[in-house]
Amino acid sequence: MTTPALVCDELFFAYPDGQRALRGLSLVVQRGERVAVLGPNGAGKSTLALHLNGILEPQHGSVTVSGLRVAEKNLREIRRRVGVVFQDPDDMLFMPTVQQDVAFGPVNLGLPEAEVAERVVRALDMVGMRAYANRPPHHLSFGQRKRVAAAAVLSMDPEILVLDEPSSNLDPRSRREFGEILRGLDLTMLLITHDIPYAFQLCDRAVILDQGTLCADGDIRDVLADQALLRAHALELPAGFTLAALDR
Amino acid sequence: MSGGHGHVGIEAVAAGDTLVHRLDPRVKIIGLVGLTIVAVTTPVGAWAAFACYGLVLGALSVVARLPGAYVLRRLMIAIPFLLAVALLPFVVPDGVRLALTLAVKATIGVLAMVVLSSTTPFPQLLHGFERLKAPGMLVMIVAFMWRYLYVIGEEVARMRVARQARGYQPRWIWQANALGQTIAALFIRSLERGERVYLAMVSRGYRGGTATALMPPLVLRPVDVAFAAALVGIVIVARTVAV
Repeated sequence: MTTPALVCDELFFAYPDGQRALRGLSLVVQRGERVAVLGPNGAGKSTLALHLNGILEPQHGSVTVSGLRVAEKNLREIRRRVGVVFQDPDDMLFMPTVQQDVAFGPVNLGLPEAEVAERVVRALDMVGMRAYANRPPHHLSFGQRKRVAAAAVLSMDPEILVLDEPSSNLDPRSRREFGEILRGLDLTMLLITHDIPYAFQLCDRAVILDQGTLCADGDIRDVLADQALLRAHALELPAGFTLAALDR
Repeated sequence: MSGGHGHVGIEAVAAGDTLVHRLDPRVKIIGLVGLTIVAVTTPVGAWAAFACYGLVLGALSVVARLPGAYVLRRLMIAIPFLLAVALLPFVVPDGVRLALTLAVKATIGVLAMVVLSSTTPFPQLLHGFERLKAPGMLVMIVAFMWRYLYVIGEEVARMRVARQARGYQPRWIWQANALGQTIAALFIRSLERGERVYLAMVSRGYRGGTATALMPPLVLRPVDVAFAAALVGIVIVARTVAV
């Protein structure tokens, strides 16, 4: 078997206020898998995301990305390999123009300017936003900003894409379009979401995170079919939604 | 609260395409900041020199096709300062002359900055400052300020709607309490946003970068040099003759 894209081994993490966000979380993701991370509010989902690129350091246990351990000396390479798309695009788009924002990561990687320019074009093409390169972010719609936020990470040529609530606040069309963009990417993906139909459309595998640990892990169809399991972790399928209705 | 509209105004005006808009941002920065400095150091009562500075700025505004009402609205930012200056005649000898001079200097300074910011799109302005070797960190901070002014502006608007939706219609000063709480809430939200933005920056490998990546290089053309020479020449002559 090849090296897994991501290995989380027995992660423990408590915030300074004593809140224990992760309690022995272990997870292995193979290259090319798209995994939905489900769980109630406060389950530790966002804390997990911040561990994957070394923003937070596990107090116990380890995270390994394609064989490279997340540690102080590897952070630059880790942050290239793991792209995190935050929930609110306004948190990610801090530069005066779209193009400069998408260039931010490649510039930090120390790439030569020609290479940066090429990557910016490529990343904006991937999300269909090339025509907006010179616009300031506040001239874009929320859905467009979300796509640019994804491009801002894709320009770093990541191996793993971590998305925190990718569909939140998007209108139905933007939500669908963003999903199509994600589906077209040949990347390992972690989708942290409450949007179960969205997860079902995009992912093959689902894990349920609750109280800082994994409570379920398997084929997304099996996980979502287990009503008792979902109920136990404050998850529900939307009214009227059946897995058969979205059969792929 | 026309703040939001004001910003839209300045962006639309700055996106114009006239001789002044097309000038290299560096010569505009040097020329107009320079003019302001010269104006500030011009002696009290040198009316001819002040008239000359005003004419130069007026001419630039006309060539740049800045709408008159727009320029006047922007100039109003100096009003609080002018009110303070209006006290001078009562407290110092020859205060009227002094007050008028200060008022004129303030107006010229503000007008110069209005011309600069209304003929140069903000990213270009940052680019110009960076190429003039302004400290990178400072340019970055200003870039952030500009970007988040809009985000926070939208938040303010949403909070105002939320207050009104619950029947808040302040008419008396003692009803201003809710306003104070809004400001406090805004402060906390901005603080939290700042933290999230920082995380997002670190996530993309931030190590002290630039706010002007991938901007096409600035090239001085003859017209830029001519503009700088003419502006400096006129201003220096005016300043010298006045003394």
